[in-house]
Amino acid sequence: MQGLFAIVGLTLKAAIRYRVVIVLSFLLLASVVVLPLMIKHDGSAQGFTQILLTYTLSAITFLLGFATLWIACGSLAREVQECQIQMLAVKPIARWKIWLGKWVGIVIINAILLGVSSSAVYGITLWRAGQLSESQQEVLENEIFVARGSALPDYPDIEPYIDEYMAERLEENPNLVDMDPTYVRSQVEEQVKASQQVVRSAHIRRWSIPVSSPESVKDQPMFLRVKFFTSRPYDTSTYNVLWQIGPPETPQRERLSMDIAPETPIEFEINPNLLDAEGNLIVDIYNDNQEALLFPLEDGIEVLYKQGGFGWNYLRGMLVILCWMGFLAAIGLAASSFLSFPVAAFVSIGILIVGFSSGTLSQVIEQGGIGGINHETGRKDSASGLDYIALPIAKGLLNVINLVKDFSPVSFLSTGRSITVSILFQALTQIVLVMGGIFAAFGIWAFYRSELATAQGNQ
Amino acid sequence: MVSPSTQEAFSSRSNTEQAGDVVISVRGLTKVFKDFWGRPKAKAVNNVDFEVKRGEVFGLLGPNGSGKSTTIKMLLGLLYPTKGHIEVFGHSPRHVATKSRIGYLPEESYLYKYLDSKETLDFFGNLFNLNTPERRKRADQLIEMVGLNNARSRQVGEFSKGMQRRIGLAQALINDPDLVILDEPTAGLDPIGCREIKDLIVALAKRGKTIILSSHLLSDVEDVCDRVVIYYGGRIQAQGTLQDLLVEPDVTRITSPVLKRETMDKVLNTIRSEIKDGSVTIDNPTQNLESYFLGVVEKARASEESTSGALAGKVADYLKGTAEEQTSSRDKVLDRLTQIEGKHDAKLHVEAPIEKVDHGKLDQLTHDSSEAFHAPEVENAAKSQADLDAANDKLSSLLDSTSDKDSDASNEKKD
Repeated sequence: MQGLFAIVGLTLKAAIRYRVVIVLSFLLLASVVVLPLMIKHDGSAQGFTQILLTYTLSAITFLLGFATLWIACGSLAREVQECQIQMLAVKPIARWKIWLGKWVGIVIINAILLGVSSSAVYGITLWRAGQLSESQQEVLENEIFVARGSALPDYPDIEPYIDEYMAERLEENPNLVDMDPTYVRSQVEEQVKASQQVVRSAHIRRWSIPVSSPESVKDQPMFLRVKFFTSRPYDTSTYNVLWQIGPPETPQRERLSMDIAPETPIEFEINPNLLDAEGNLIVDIYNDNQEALLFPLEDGIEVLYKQGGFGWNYLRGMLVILCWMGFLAAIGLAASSFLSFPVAAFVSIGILIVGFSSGTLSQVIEQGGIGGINHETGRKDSASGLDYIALPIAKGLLNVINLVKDFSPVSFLSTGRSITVSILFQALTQIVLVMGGIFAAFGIWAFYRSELATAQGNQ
Repeated sequence: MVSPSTQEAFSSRSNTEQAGDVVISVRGLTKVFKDFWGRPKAKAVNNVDFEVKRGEVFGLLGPNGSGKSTTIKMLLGLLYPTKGHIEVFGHSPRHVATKSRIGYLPEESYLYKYLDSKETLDFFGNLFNLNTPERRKRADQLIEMVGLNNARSRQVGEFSKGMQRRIGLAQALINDPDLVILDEPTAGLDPIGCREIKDLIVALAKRGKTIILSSHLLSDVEDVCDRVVIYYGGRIQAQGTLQDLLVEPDVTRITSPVLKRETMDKVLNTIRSEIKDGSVTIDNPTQNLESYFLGVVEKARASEESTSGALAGKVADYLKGTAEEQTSSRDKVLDRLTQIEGKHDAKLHVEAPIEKVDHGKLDQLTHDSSEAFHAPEVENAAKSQADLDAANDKLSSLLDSTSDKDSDASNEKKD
């Protein structure tokens, strides 16, 4: 391991002596300090959080992400180009150790930079929170500066329902057999989903939301976070919704009436101790409007409850970001294991852009292909040859991207959600070990196979 | 402490290897460089065979682009052969543990510019799993040996080219290697540095190290190598010992202190009685420029004139190693060079080569009267004194400018 640690030390020395650490530290600190000064918040806890946490942490993630790719590509590709790698390769150290040593070095550089900048964000956020009104400070305390657990309704598996419903439909209407079965199934799926998430006009729908550790939320404030849609696109009107929360027919059951806007998540506090004997929160919604309201399965209705403090949650959030950086470092090093510096940087950034375009990939999958969409159905009428290739690729890529994108520490911290140790462990496993490991395995293999003396030194 | 794999590599050598063992075996080695599409672009090395034995100083000689460096890089596992087979200490060149026995000085300084001399040696020492006290000890000794005592905390990026070669050489020796591969080791060095490197090569060979030297500078190779291969166009054009390759069996040369005129006449008459075709040549020997230059520098050193450049010290103690005890067989290599070629003593003092002179003048010397014999001698002496004075001035100024150049170069880099 002595050789590996020597490579780690060398990578750190290079970053420090080439002033990468100093310059990036200043850049990050400037963005952390200057950004909130340039953009004024509206005095509300939400506005404050948006700017002090969401914007600054996103800026840090963005800057660090690009810097990581740049350093990773340069660290290996430049050494190959300038022939310094030859001096390492002729020494008794395995190539995988050289590769891994560089990766560890880059992750440590990131840890230092992230530590400096995130500490500044933490300090500035807490300091400036004291300048808000008392009521908004209270909102911050309860909703943001906290680690809140989340519980979603216990939806049944809809696949058997889809199969059953489809069989019924085909029996009722034999003409459906002649139609594209994929299309028919997707239509049926939408109908089954709607049955789980729509509250029709003048109807009540009940949700049962299991809370994993009822004892821990005893006497603690709880919050309902809801989001709904109507059939009207870009709907700006408000809708009156009646809520009955808590065990039915009990005195503590809470009743609320409120006008809320669609498409925007809203959050409101509910009384503590509303769980039933099984630890479920029963929520009944009465739709007192002409329009049907649709509460999506994924995030239509959610219970949030206090699980821990902000400090540790923030630290775990930063560690998840560090996992991302480790993943990016693996991408950069893998690319530079067989490509020259500019090409490696270009390829790495290309991979990153594909990662950011998961929405497009989802759309391709949803529409059943690329281009030629029937605007009435929102899908392709018939698949082309290209679609037979594009669809599996899009599905595969999306699955892979989701392994990484499922973890969003900035949005978790901005909404006061708990980043549990298990989430951190999952991030470490999925982002670093699985995804990073795939790139590392490829990079090490390419580095092992490459002839390191083909470059002519250009020092 | 050293790692088990390194220990294994180090322990196996002393038990099983002896002088004459094959250190490197190359058979049918071919390297074809290909383009992006896999089409052959250039055949850099073409069906090369050779062996290097333990304790040899083996020279790879050839013009630029003849395949020397490509061969070396394949020996080090930095390039992979297209065809053929290489064994280094009985293993593939990519065998990691074997690399602990190899020291390599590349043709350019491929060192990390942001590290200083001590850090550079410490870093490479770490790669050989040397413990901290050992690394420090070796680094100190090597820095002294290559004459960088005054620059130990300066970053390598600030060094002149010659200083970079010196620190490069030091890193190649940090592991007390059994096999030292030197690619153009004297490139960028001043004459003193060149001589020091050559002295070091001989000293290392005496200590049982195997040395591979690649160079296109014929004098470097001739001064130190036991055996050479000569490359051209990727193929070996000639190989063998210097004795085999250079000796002219149909010519005899006699060297002696200055003889009296009568004695000379007798000798010439005796020779002429056997050789009638006028191919006998006689001249006063002249020393070569390198020897003369070094003499001037020695004088300057003796008078304690200062220089900001590098001054080499003694060979690092640890390099003596266990091989020191086995030097008798290696001494034979040196002895052979000394006896047969008359070029080496224990410290590799290169004797001045005797140059051929004008045949017309020799005819005069051999056929004419005593006047004709004396006149050129007087003329030569006067001319030679004038030449020596001129050379003395020139070299003194060269020496000054060399030291100035070194300090200028480093100042420029700083700026």
